[in-house]
Amino acid sequence: MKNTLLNLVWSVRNVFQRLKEKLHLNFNLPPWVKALIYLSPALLLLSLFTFYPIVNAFRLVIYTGYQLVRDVDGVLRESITGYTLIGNFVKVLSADNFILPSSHTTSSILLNTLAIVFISVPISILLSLFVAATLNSIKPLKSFFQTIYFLPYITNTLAIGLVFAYMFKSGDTGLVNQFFRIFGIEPVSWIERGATYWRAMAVLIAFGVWDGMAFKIMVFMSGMQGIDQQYYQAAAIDATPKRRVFTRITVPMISPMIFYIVVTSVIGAFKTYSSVVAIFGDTATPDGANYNLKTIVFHIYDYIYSGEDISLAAAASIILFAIILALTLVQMYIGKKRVHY
Amino acid sequence: MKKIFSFVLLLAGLLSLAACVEVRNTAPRLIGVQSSITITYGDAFNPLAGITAEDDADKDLTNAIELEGWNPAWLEDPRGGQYSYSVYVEDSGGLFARQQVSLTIIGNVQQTVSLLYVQEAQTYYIGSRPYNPLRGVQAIDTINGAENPIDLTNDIEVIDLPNLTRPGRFSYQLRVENELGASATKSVSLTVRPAVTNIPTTLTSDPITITLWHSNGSTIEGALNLYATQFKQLYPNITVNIVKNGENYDALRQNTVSAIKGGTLPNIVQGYPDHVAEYITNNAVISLNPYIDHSVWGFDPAVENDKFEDILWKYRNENSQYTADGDFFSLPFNKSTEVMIYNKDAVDALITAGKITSFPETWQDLFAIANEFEAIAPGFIDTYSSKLGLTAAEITKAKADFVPYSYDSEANAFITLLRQWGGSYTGINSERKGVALYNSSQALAMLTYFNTHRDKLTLPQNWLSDYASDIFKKGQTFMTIGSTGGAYYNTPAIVGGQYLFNFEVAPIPYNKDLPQHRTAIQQGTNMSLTNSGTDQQKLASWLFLKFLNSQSVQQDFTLKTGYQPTRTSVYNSQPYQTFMNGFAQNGTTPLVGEDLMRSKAARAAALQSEILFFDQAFVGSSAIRAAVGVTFKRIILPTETDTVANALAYAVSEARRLLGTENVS
Amino acid sequence: MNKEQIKQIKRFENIIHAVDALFIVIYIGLFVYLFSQIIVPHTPPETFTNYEYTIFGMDIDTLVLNTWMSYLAIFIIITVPLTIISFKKTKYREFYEYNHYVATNYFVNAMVSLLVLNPASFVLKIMASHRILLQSEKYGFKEALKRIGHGIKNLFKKKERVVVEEDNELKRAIQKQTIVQFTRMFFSYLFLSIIALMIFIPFYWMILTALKTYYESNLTLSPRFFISLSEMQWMNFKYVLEEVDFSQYIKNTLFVGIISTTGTIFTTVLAAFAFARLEFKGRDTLFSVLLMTMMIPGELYILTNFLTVSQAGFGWIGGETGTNSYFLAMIIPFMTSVFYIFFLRQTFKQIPETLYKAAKVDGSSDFKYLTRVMIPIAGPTIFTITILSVIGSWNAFIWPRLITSVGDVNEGRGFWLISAALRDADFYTSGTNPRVMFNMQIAASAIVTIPLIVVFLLLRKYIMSGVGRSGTKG
Repeated sequence: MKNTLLNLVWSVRNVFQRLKEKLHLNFNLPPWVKALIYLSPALLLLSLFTFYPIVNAFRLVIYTGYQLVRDVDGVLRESITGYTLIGNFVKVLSADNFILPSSHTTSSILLNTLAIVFISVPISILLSLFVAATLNSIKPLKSFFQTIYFLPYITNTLAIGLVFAYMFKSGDTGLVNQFFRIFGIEPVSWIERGATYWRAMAVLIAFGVWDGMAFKIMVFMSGMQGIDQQYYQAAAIDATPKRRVFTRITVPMISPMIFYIVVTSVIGAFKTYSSVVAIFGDTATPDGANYNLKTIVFHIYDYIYSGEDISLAAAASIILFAIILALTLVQMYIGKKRVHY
Repeated sequence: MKKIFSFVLLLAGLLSLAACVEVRNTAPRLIGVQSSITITYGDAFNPLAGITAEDDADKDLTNAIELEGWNPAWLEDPRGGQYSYSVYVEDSGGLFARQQVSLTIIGNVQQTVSLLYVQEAQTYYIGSRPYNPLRGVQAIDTINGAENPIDLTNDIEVIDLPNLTRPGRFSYQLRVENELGASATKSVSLTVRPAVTNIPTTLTSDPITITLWHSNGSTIEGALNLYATQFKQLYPNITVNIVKNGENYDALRQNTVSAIKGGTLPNIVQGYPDHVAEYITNNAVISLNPYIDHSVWGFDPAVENDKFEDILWKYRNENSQYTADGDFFSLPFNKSTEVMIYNKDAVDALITAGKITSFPETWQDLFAIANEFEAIAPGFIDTYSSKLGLTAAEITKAKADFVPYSYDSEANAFITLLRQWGGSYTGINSERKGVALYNSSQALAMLTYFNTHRDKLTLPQNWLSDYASDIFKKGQTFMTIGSTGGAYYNTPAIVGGQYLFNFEVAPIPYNKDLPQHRTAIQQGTNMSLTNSGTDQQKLASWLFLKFLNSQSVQQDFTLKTGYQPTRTSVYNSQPYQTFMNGFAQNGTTPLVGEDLMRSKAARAAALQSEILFFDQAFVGSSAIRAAVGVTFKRIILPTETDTVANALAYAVSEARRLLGTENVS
Repeated sequence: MNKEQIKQIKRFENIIHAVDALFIVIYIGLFVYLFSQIIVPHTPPETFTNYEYTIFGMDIDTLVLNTWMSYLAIFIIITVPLTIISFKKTKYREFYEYNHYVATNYFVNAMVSLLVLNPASFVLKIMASHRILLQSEKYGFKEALKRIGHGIKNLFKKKERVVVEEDNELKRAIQKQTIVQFTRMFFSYLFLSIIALMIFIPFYWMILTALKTYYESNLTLSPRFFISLSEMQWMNFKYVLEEVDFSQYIKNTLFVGIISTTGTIFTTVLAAFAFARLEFKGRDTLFSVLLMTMMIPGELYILTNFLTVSQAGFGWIGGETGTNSYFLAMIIPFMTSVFYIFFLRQTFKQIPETLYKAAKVDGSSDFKYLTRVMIPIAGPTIFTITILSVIGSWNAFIWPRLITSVGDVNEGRGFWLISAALRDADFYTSGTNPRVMFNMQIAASAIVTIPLIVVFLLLRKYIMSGVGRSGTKG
């Protein structure tokens, strides 16, 4: 199948090649033209459906009172009430509980998001690395475990989020609390009335870890499978302890994959939203709690759908983008030194 | 160097792109208008004092402020009286602001006269049926007490009624006076518009198809389909497509807004008032006034159960609140309110024991006897639980978690109770933008009161449930306050063919200290006409809307679903009266179970029908509602370190964020 | 064992597999038949109703039917993987690999067959076990039992210590190593099992909820972790399938998935190659810009993209009935993905540059290098991207729902993708204030998930071997 496809491509190309020779065209293209040809399909689509929306959204940040109204003749007309350079940013940043907790609510949106990123990503990656390494070292039942670990990837987040929420609910009789009772730990409220901030956050983090492990395990495992056995044999000859083998051989050899995973996981963790809604509902607040679990993306959606002020949503998005960009640059800097291709 | 240059170029490009957007004219703002003023005869009073007007384009418009309906002669009357007028300002672009003021002048006569059901801003289209300034208006005199009002409707006089043949802005007054000289005067700002030309006088005989978008469940959808079929028998060439577009009202709103921007709208769309406000901002819905008063297609004032004023005043008021001109942008559809459902057996037990004579009607009385209910609760729970077959652990838990009273919706609780404590929830400013008015001492007082008594009145989350009905029907709480639309969920569980207990429904409790603020919430959706479609389609859609509000449809709908009738004639009709009295339509078979619950709920709702409130709609009110819901939960189910002030501060800060700091008191 | 015996055994094994397969077909057939017989109530089922059925001439009620179907489901879940594994093993087994382990294997399998009510397989497997044991080890069952008995006795007998110095050292070292290995193996499996359990429990809970009645799934107090076989409401799945026009939606999803995936592969391969190997000015800047687009939440794109494809833009959606091209709107925006470009670029980068330089020296063009060298080496990765992209289409629901709700809704509904259809379907109770039937929604999600699990099981090897590195072996 693959061969026939490639042969087809080749025959088409040969036609073009012969045409080129016939017409005596000399194609000594400068490299950037060549690159452009290769990139054009992707760039065309990206410009229309990725770059344009971003530019369109970001330019809204200097408007006040933006409105998009459609005339009776079907023409979309936009109008504003004025311009403001940093006014929208100031509004977003100075809102209560965005950067820091306030006197009346003891959580802040920025801190919530940072907690999720800096706790769930390392746990998730380390756990996945260990699972992948362990899985790689056993033979029987390997495929059985692989299948189980892949399950979270193929279910949709909202449904599983609801199930997760259900598991942590129901006071004394919920699944998780019953489980803890086996070990003699008193049942507590996780996401309902009486839950403390860190317990609620733990549920959110647990869900993030759970959801993200499937893809990471898959990537790491395949990366490890591709490592040349020579290295391991050489290490075995030198009787290197297992831990050293892991840190000195395995990890560096799959460092490009680790880098990819770290960068994308951090970005993904910053965009946490649907799990908050699935577990805590539209207000992101456990009943009666004087804190909430809102994340930055939750806040952005809030501006879009509740506040109806698109400019504030754009400002919040730019702030989020700046934070992620800064962190990614840091990661890339570290990556230059640590990643081996 | 090149990098910087290209970056600057890029930025310049973006900025220029961003700059080619038109700046639209915004309405002027009136500042310093008090909506309610009381002075004494002899006081100097300048209605324009302290009022300024500003506009983004025209800057200061204070000199352009007008008074509509103001008569300086009122200050000369030593008897005093109650009056109303409007403050109005218009900018050079034609946008205006209008705010109504009610003025009470205390004189030497006790003011006991009131004018009721006056719509203070109205619109009239030239060529409609003759304008009736007294449509639906009543006047009463409470000189013999509020329970024995004297009807003075025939004595109302109309002053300065304008000539309605040319367009313009006018105002006239309605005034009524009793023999002692007490008087009430209300000014009506009437905007007369040119005749509309796009309403055909004859309905075409070609086939017309119209579409209605809703997001109700199967019961209401079934009813709508039935009415569409009945409508087709009246107008065989009109087909009405009933389409569900969205799993809940908010999804419907999102789909409609998306369709406004980039799709095709249906002809009729269902929505809450704040949804309609959003559609109005997008020019997507049309005014119904031309149709309502149309000489051919409008409501016929001569027919008792067709006339427009037969539709209850509170619904007419709600559906004309959107703009300062009083245009109608929707007609009511499935309206409901909140009622109090209680366990009659438990109450009877206390009556027999001589502790009370009837179920209390005020919060204070309810909380006073709460411990009596707590004392008898374990016995009742034991009885019910054994019938339901609960485990011992569950029984212990039910007894431990028992709280006598529960309120289903925390947001409704906040809004309603705030009003009962004399506070205001939200309003709209002269730009029709929302303002939050609950940063007040009344709000703090109300929240503190219910926080203190949270062991007596609680929310369903106390039992880790989402619905109070699930707890009430098992007899584990003795009273619950919930919507009439969902009342049937509270029907007691059936065990072995028998209902667990007897129940009764009453209007919701009120604040004993402020009985004049006794009120309950008015909820439910309305139906609007969109601007899409041909003139014939719009006419056909109007006819269907009118049909949905006809007496026959309303009677069928409300008997079937338990929603409130929109017409007085339905309330007074025999079938509805039979229903409210708890009998099936044959008049003799008593209703049971869910039907009985619906019937009792309907009767309780009718009892509080005159005192319902609604808050004026503005874009974003649902987010404010969610915020005050969180606040109420925080005071009823508090964490140890939380305070009432902090809970309120949360809702206030959300309002600041969503509405702007300047719109929060 | 000689060739003749091997052939005989293999033939015998094939018979066993055929019988197993036959029984699997019977189980599945019975299950499908019973499923088709289930009576689904017309109104949303809020409480449990016990219907009467007549199956194969017997009068049974819903509880019994549920029990039967539960048993069949368990049988199918157990036998299908076992049979496939056994078949694979048999195919590749060499003649010298037949020993008592294989015999024990068959013996255990025979027990399993007995449990799943498969008497034919049970007998055949016992016979196979006996024969293999006889022919490979030259003893039969009785002898084997005796040996096992001896072995257990030896475990408890004190061993005679023959003292030989060097042997002792070696023995102890070997003992230590085996203990270390054993402990490591034990803890590895323990660790993996714990993680697997934590991953699996939400699924178990999901399937459990899908099989509960509405009333049960709504219980906040004391939800049950195990329900008896007779209480598994298979009716829920039938209810979901009847509410939703599955065939149409699956067709839509496959169509959209395949075309958008093809486009994605095309654009991704070209772009990833450009970023990995071609040298051009601004390469890193452009790649960083691409990375940055990943940092922006998706909802911001949806707003503008909706306008682009709507009547205010290309006019693919939201217009009058019959003027819309919903598929264009569902496919074109998703024919490329920065996520996959990044992923493939990492893979391409791992293929040594020396190869590329060498190819250049040989005068081959970039395109030749791409198609002849890189694509084959990174083939598994590209395959993985394909699978992931199709899974993405399978799970997509916000966009398909949005673009079909703004015009003629009934026409748009015909274009839904499977996840959108299942989420938006009417799983509400009846009445004026309908509540969501949680168990039905979860059942719908389960139905959507199962084909994906099957796909993963079949293509697991390819997906796994693919996400990885290149090979330059040696």
